[in-house]
Amino acid sequence: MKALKLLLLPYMAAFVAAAFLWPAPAEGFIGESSRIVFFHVPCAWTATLAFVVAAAYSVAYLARRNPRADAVAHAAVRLGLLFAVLALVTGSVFARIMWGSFWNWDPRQSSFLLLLFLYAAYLFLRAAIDDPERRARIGAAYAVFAAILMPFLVFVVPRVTESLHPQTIINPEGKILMDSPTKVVFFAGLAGFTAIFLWLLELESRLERLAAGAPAPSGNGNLPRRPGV
Amino acid sequence: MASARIEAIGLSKSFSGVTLFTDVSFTLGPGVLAVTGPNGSGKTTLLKILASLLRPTSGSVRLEADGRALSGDESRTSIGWSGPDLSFYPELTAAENLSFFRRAAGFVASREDVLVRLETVGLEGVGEPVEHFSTGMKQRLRIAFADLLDPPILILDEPMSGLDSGGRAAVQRVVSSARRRGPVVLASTDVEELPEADQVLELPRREK
Amino acid sequence: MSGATARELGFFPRAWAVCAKDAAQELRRRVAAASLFFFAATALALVSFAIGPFGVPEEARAAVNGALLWIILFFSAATGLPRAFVREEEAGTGIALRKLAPGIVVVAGKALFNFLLFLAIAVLSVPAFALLLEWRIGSPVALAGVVLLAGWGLSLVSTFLSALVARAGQRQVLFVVVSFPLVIPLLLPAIAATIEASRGDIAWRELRVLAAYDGAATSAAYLLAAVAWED
Repeated sequence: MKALKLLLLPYMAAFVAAAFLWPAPAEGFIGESSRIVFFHVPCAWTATLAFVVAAAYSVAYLARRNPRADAVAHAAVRLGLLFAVLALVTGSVFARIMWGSFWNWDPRQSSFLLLLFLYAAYLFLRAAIDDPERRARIGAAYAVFAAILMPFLVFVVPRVTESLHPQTIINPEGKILMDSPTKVVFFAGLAGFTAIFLWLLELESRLERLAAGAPAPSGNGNLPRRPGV
Repeated sequence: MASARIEAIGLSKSFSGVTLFTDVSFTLGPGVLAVTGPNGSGKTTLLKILASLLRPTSGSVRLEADGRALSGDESRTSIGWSGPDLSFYPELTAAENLSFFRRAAGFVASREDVLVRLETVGLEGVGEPVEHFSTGMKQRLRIAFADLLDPPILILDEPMSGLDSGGRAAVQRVVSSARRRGPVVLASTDVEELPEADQVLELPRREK
Repeated sequence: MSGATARELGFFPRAWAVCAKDAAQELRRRVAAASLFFFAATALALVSFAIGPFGVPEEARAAVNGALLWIILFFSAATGLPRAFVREEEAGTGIALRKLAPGIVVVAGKALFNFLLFLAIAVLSVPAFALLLEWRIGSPVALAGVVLLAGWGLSLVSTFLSALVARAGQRQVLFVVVSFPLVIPLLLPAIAATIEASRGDIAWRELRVLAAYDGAATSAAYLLAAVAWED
């Protein structure tokens, strides 16, 4: 595993170089802007993966009340927020180049903005609760509740209306409309970003567990309402 | 009818590094256990653990009624509890509070039944909302609350606090009838004011 | 009668008891209803003053009015509905209620109460809104259907989330922040269906989406109520 981590840096360096040098810019895009797909899509993918991870670990926490599960869920949301911001920024830059404005309430853009609000809400909710066990439990409950309502966020907001979003990957034909060099670099990037995400996730959750210090006492960690009872 | 029992097995509780008590064990059938100790010794916490309101750091509580162990859900209705932080809905009257709590717990609350319960604690005829109650009246209502579902196991924390002689007599009556059908656990800093106990458990002053 | 016997009342009577109790408290204090009412009234007055009956061109009127209506209803709900759980915390009655009633009973009862409260406000604000802004509603029945469907989803989600934030700091702001992303997929179809209703049509697709959302929200609240109510 350590060897794989060490390889990640040269791997990503090669990927970035290839992204700019190897495949030709795609047709129908202005200038070199199609290259953004190598960075934008993996960010969006990672942000969505982070949500799934957070939801899954929140369920795990509620089932067994293991603080480690909560630490992973919390870390996943923080990372998801980061990647969602990156996805929105790269997407907006692309939008500016292609259609002249950063933001146009395109359904896919908007649904990612909503995902961002969701992540921010989760973090805000946690920050407002002092007791560690309650914070974990309430955060997990919110994450799972949101996950159950998720399909509506994902499918209702980007209604099948006119979308400016390029249909290279998710499209009615179900085919990936890329040439070979592009496909290679694209999937390489996807794998690389996922690896980065998982590594960061591991680091972040370990850091959180260490920062939490001594393990919380088992059972109900409630403090009595009045001292001296 | 087989009577009820409560058994504490090695109970200990600590939070944020402070240990309240360790290794508390006892067995109690029909009768009274008086828990005593200075302020801060953990009496209220212990009673809440016995009433399934808090979880212990280690150890367990075993409840029995009708000759068999009680499940988690059954313990909700089988244990009556009252303590200093028990509060009621201020806008509602005593009768409304009691009948609501009975219904929320899943039991029918007839007017006559609620009236009898209020009479037992000397609150019959009190029509004003709880927010206008004196300390003593609120305490009487707490006792009525503890006995609301006619539980086989009764746990009263500081039952006499704020009560006049009439109120104390009411508590004595409630405890006398409860001790015949099951365990009654009472806590107070002053054991003299409590009804006569079959067992006494003294919690030591907390080590700093 | 020994308390170790089985319960006499099922889930619905118990939830109804919670709802009735909240209603009794509300009727005597009127805190939630008052804040709801004053918020809606102020918002309506502002909108009416700013736009007036002819401020918006005819073609755009349905869309603007539809959006404004649901914005007002959402923020009214955010102002008044969280009281249901906060009330328990402030009165200190949580400890007694937690001892006797499980999460699903309490959440269901309060959701029902909040739904009735929401409907009361809607019944007052929607006609007032239509009157003040000269908004002719083509199909009032369709509009009523939208208000009922979307109202249930909004009330239920608000109730559940208010259980989560009842013991947190910054409650008012926190509630809006946590409810907003979850309520958007409800408000957008509601607005679309409202616009259709004002044109006299029934927006079947949007109504289906609302019904599905309500179903998902109800299931989610059912699964997580115990967790939200825990001490």
